[in-house]
Amino acid sequence: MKEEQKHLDTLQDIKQIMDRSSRFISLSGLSGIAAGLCALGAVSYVWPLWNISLGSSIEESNPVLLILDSQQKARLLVTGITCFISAFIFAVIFTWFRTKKTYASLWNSTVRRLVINTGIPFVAGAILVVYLMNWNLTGLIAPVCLIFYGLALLSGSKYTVSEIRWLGISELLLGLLTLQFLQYGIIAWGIGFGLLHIIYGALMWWKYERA
Amino acid sequence: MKNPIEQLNKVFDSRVRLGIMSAVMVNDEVNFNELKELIQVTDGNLASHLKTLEENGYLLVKKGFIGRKTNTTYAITKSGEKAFKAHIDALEKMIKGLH
Repeated sequence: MKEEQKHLDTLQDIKQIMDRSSRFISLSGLSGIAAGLCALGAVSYVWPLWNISLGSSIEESNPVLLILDSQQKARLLVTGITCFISAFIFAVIFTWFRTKKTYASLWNSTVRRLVINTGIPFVAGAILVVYLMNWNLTGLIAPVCLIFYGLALLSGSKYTVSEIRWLGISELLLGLLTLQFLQYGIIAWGIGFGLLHIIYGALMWWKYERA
Repeated sequence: MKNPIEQLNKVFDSRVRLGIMSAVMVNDEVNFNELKELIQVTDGNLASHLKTLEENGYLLVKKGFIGRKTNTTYAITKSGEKAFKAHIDALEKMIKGLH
């Protein structure tokens, strides 16, 4: 019996090191909650831009087309960038606190792979969104953000906590669903980047960091 | 039938060496500092175990530089992969055999 336990412990050790060496698991749930709050803040700030078009007859004939003047475009762009940067900074701060407790480092080859693999689809999506806005295809911005963000998370999920995969799939499905209800894009964006992040972050915090 | 204990690899009879092998098994390459952080051992201890594994032909050592600092990375060899898998299989058999 003692012998058996020894071998089981060895296998457990092997599994743990394989996991720890290939995945960055110190991502804090609190960063998810912070990102969600940033997104809800962003939605409330650009809400008036969508509000004027919600339910109007032009919207229904072609919900993709929503012509914003350059000032409105700038507002949308600046809000998006500010939202991303603040969410990113919060993520780094909370994760940094967590690495202090888990004795992990904030930058190593696993983190680099995580950043690269999440970054490629993310940057591609961001470039596409800027073009959509230039072409006045404003209605497509929200679903495209959600779809590309979902794909980015899926692609990065191999290098971090496995639960990220489910968040990615949820964002992707929500984005695809939004294609059918374009006029509610801003609401879907708020659900995807706000609500889902908060739920995910809270679950992760509850599961791994509560103690 | 062969006794599974004989199939256990003596080289892997150390927590540090098992740790090193586990890490290089799932990563293309791992550097010294990452291994140190992962397994939580002293430099000297880690270096001696790495040497043993290298001498057994299980590890491929690449010495490089990042700026002026040396950066030694380790990767698993084909025979290392085979030996490690056989070791895990043997462990598994022993656990099953003891039931």
